Amino acid sequence: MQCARRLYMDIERFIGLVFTGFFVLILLYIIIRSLILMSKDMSGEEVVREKALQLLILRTGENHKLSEGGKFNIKEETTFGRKEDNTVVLEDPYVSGYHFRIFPHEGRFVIEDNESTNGTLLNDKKLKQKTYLKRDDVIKVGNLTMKVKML
Amino acid sequence: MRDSKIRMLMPIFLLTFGLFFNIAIFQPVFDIGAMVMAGVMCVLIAYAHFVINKFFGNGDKFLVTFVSVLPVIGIAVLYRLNPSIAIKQVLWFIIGISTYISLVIVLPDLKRFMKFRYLYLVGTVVFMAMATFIGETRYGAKNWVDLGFISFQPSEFGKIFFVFYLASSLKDFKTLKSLIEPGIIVLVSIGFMVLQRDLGSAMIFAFIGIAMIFAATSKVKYLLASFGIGAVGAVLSYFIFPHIRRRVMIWRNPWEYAQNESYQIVQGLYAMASGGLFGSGLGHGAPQYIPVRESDYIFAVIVEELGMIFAFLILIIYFLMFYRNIRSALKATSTFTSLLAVGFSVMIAMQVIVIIGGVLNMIPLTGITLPLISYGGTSMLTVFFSLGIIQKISEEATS
Repeated sequence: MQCARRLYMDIERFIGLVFTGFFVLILLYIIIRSLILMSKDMSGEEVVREKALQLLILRTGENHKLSEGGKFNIKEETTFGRKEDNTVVLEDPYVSGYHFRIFPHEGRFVIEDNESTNGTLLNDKKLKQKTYLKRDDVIKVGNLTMKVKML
Repeated sequence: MRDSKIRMLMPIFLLTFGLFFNIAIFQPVFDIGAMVMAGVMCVLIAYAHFVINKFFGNGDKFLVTFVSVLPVIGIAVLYRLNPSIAIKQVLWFIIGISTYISLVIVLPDLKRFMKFRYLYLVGTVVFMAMATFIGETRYGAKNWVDLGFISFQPSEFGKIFFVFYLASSLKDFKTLKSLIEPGIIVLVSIGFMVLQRDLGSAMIFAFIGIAMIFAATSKVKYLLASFGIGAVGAVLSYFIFPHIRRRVMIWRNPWEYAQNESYQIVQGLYAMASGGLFGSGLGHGAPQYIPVRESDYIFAVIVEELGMIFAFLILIIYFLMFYRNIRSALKATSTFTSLLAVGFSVMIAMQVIVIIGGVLNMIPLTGITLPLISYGGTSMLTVFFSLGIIQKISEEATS
């Protein structure tokens, strides 16, 4: 009788252990699963961050420092103009001191005209407001012509 | 991406049904009520996951998982201890997670809330002081207020106002002068907590203050200075207040007072030791010997019945939760929201450290609840409220 009772206790304890082991495994699964997803999340973000825009120069105009077929890689805010503290300094006399800028926003790139005297042409239309750049857009400033490439 | 979310829901369902099935089969009669409760919680958790992932996919996707796992464990352990308390806790869980979801849905841009600095100041001081004057004493701390129809811990609400106040006043930190007013408020809050003998909350407030001041100023000298002030304050209050001296005495020498002051620590240590690595199995331990087992000492019950390994995994989940919270703080778009997230995540993390450290007798024991696991309506609500705000902040970061 006592032997049977002890056997019953042992079985109960064994079942309890199996349950605990099961719970431990589930928690481990949740933890490891979220760690994997988190690491994926992070590497995904890096791809977004390294997204860059490339400008291909079609015609240099009067900007003698640039060469035709040259490329700019744009990752962060880039300003164009005649003043020395622009990211890209242009020499064209039709270009204003701070002419226009391109900056990233939510993984895309935005072009904005800086109220320049002679304006910025995007696909031969005068740029009036902030606009998202698309692949193969053509930007014209004075005599400089550039084409947008996505990386 | 969609199917990865379902993969996170399945283990939570398995855990919920597993825990309650385990409890149910060891009852003399198979307990249908336990299974019903598991079902209710699964529906709730599925709904929370659905809303957060479907409509607010930009926000943090992990927080809602951790927020579901921890209360499930808590409610299962409570059900094993005392089914009627567990049912109340399920109600609190429903209210809490609804608060969490509705904060994310309803709340407009959080930056709008940064200008009510003096409102937060008044709220902080009122809630901190409340229990000193009209409070009643439970478990040696005078930190409960009974309004007749409802009784609650005002310091729990005070915490929320405290973090909001510090975030809105520290966001435009310039010189040492702008630290004077927040510094005084921190000291006043801690002072009231010490007067109410709620040392755990005092410690949490101190660490929230230090963390937020450091996050706002990012200067090591302020960090060192606030730690210095904290240390001096701790030593001074050790010599002024006898109840603090007794706590330290118990902590250094628990076995000597095993029948009197340190009864709960010793019982907790016995229980955890008898549980060992794998535990005695849910429903097979002897938690009836542990005092305050439903709230402060629930960690000891978990270690006894489910084992140290399981308890460690719970700690890892807390850690991951803290990591996600701090991540939203880092990615927040304004200083105000970033400071809010820092304050709330430090609040939750410090609660875990203070109570688990106390139960394991690594630091002097002070009675506070284990966030999301312990029984307690006010605590559940505060934690869910702060997590809802963090979830909202995490969403602003990516959009």
